[in-house]
Amino acid sequence: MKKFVRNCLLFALISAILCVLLEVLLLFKVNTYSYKRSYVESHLDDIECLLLGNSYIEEGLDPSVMGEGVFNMAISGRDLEYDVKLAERYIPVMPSLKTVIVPLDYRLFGFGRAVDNPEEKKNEEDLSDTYRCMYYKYMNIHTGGFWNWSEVLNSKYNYVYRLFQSDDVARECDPLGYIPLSLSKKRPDWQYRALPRLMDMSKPINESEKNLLLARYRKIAETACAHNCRLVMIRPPMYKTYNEAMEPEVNEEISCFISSLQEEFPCVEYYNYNNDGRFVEDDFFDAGHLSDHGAEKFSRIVREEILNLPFFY
Amino acid sequence: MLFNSFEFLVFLPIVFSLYWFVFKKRGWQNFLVIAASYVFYGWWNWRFLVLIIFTSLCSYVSGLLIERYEGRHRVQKAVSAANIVLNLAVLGFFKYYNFFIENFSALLNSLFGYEPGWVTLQIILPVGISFYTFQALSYSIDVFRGKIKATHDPVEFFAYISFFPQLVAGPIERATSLLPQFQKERQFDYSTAADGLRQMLWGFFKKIVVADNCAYIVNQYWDTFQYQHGAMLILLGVLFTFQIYCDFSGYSDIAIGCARLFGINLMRNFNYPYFSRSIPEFWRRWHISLTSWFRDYVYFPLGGSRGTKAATVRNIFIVWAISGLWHGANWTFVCWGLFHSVILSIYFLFGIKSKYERDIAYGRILPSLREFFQVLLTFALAVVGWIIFRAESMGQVFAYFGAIIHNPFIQFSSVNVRAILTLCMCLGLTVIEWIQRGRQHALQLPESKFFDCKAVRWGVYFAGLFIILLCKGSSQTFIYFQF
Repeated sequence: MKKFVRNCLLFALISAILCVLLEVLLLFKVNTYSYKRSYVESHLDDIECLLLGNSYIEEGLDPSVMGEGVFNMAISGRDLEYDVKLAERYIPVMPSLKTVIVPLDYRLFGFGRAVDNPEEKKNEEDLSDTYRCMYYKYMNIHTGGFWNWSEVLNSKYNYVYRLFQSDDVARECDPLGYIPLSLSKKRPDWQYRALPRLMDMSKPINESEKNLLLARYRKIAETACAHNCRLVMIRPPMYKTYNEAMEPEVNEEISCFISSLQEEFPCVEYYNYNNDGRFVEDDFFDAGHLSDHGAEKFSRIVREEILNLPFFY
Repeated sequence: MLFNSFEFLVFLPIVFSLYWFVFKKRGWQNFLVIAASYVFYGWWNWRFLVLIIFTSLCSYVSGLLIERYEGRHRVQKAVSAANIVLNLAVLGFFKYYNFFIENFSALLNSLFGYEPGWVTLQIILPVGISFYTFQALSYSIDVFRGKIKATHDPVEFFAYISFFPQLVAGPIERATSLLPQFQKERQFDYSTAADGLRQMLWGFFKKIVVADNCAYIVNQYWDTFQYQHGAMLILLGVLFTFQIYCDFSGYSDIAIGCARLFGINLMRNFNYPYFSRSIPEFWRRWHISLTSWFRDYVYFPLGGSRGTKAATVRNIFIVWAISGLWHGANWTFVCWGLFHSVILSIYFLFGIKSKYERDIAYGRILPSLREFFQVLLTFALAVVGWIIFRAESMGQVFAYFGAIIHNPFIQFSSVNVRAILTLCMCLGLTVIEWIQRGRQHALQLPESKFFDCKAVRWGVYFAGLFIILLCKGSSQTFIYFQF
């Protein structure tokens, strides 16, 4: 027994050392999170427009088209909780910042009314640990236990592959934080991918979930207004299958919320491009995301209509 | 709790330490097994512990009653039947209620135009219910048959039903084999425990490295199979064939290895099934604990192959239809079972040789050409079966095979490199298993001067661990949990 325990402990010790070594090696290898953080922190004085949010913005707005001083800090799958922390951390220390763009995500307004999909729910739960870990380890945003720091324990990404990739590939995004979705990778059933979950409107609203979300948007608005920034809340273009899957009642609730937010915080602006006729099939990668082609078009529109800059500069 | 989770990484050493260092007496160890098993199961949903307790209690009491009424065969039979009905009622409600309601309503509607308006329920399927129900049933049937004496100790019986390594996905143990192990003192054996750890490592390797990578490809492309070229569809079938094998046999390896750490030997559940030369041989090597359960408790009582040819074929069809239904409440599973029963019937009716005295390529490195083609044919038939198994409906099965035939066979522009690499990984696994086919598991290193060196052995283990970490990214739950 002693021999067995001794060997097990030795094996566990060597494994733990290997894992720690791996964690440390990964720490020094660039990834989307660490890259975006270090870019923002080294350009605090230069950034005039900061893009926050999730994949709708990360893959939908190309800062290189939007003019100088724009940086895309959005990251796919990001919860609004992290946007609040990032806004609170960076808006006060960016002297040139004029505009903060945040997506208004229809899916967040379900408040417990979304129809159960165990598979999807499980994926979300699985990934929440990954996000917790990545934000903790690379953006220093701590939302869980100390064990969340470890990628080996938490991450559902193929993190070890990162060690074998060049910095440009490991970074995933372009130098300004944008990730293009190439049309060549578009799936045959793209119209039915990334659709919002169906809602059962007969279900009661989960009030605590609702209050938490609204409080988070308010917190971002409060931070932006306090520092004389415009907070632009944007609903990106969606393909018709996505628009058809949305509940009009929920859209109405979003509009009401925006009105009340605008009354409370005058710096809040709202733009809805969900059903914008200027976007055609080729502009979409799937029902909810723009292709590189569409992202370029959308970025030009945002530049002209929101940032009020001429088309060519 | 999943084997491939952080929680289990903490849970196992704690239970192991308590088992050998604190609870040294047999009775206390059994008690610990129950407590640990309930924590293991309750981690998923503690409410369903009630079901395990109910199932255990029914079978325990029925065993005692059968013993009490010794000599009164009718009463014993009634008790045994009552236990079977109770257990199957629970299983039927949780697993098959909606399936039967929907199909029976549809049948009434199509035959008589009558819509009964029965409501389906939103029922959560308790993890592993089919496994522990069958294990509990085998006990009372064996007591009734006089194969085993009823146990009076509820602790050892509850430990037998709930033993956590095999609680949620087998192997489905027989009381005749597992219960006596809980009835005697257990001695720690270094080589058994060390080999258990090796077997666990190999199980994790199969699950995390091979099965999960196959799952990534299969899940990604299965939904859009109508748009895939023929070769890709065949490749998806092959990858799912490897996925389900590595997923389930990986689980079995982890379970068997884990049990060995506690001085308990579980039965072998997989014996390199893809090296079978015929479908009957395949079924003697695949999910052995379930196949033998159906053989002993359904096929033999029906008469087995002792009656006429027609009766034997009927028995084969009944057993395989039930076996299909055991896997899930869907017609695809029933059809998968019937598909295999057709093949098994053909073997039986035409007297095609399916039993072999020796293993494939016995004493040789490579199989003969004949053996090679036999294995290839068996594998191809298994792939067809697994495609039926994987499909969501029979309509999808026909559409899938239709797409293989009608879609362009190959489009080089859409060849998926990751799918090809995953296939290469599967072939690598096949080579390793071929070399190790005479052993219990592929990480039982051969006795040689080379492998006697501790550094070499540990090098192999660390290489395995590193590859697991490398591939850990897209981890999935075990497929057989849903059954």
